[in-house]
Amino acid sequence: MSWAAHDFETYVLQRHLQGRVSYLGILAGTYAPDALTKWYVYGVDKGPIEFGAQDPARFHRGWPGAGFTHSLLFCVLVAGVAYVASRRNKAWGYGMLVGALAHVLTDTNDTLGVMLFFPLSTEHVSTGMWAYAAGIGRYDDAGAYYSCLGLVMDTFWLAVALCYRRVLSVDYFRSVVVPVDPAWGWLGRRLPEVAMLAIYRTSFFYGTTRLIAWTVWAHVLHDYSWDLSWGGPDWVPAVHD
Amino acid sequence: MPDPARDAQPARDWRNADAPGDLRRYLLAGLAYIALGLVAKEVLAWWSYGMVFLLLAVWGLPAWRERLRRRARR
Repeated sequence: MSWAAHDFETYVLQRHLQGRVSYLGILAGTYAPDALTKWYVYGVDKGPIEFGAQDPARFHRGWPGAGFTHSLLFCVLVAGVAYVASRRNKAWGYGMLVGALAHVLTDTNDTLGVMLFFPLSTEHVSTGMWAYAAGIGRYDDAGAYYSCLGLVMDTFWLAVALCYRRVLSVDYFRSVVVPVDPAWGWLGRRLPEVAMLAIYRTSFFYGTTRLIAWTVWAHVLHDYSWDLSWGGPDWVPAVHD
Repeated sequence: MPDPARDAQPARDWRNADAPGDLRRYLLAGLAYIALGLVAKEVLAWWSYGMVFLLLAVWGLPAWRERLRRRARR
């Protein structure tokens, strides 16, 4: 899985498809595949309350399991639901579709990959660029991800988003983002613009701070070993299909 | 029936966004969030935490400080 790349992709997609997609739709789409499963993949351990998936990889990406959430069919389905729920707003349906597709395609880069063509096939599509290691827990997974090509992927998307930094400006927000999406109008009657801009910019803020914080945590506060080889890091038990 | 033309025009004030010093506010918020994340890693786990933090940093706290300042002037 990838960590901050999903946050930056939203702006790049918005920039390329401007005027045709809802930014909030893209945002919802990028979170849709993991929305209901990620917390269970890592599990919950709060004193007496302890539960989670016995086999996180199989639950997250496999079948039987919730692996169908990382398929092309799922992307189409959530887009359809968004289209209907938004009173047939094409910008929302389209945004949801490209957001979910971006998430699923980015996740093909770990060693486990995704069942892209489910239910026609349960075979996983994967480039194997970095290790899928959700089974070792959230924090060690972060340490592994930010010690391998996962960090390169996140940094690449941050750089691309910075190239398109105009999408973060107030002018772009007013002239491109707001007009295609009635949801901003609804929010605008309840919040001042400065708050709406903060919501719009949250993914960039969250992605950047998370990338930096996890990298500092892994390599300054702790001593996770770097391994920028394909499929690394080699010190983590990578899950394959 | 929803009116898209009306819905696209927020009724509240547009003018106060991106005032001078906003970039500095975002940068300070980012540094604070990174520091907080290093101490309490849970905040790095959820997008919604990031949104609430950013809303507080660039809107909630400055608005509250402004209100206190105005009250003190009276």
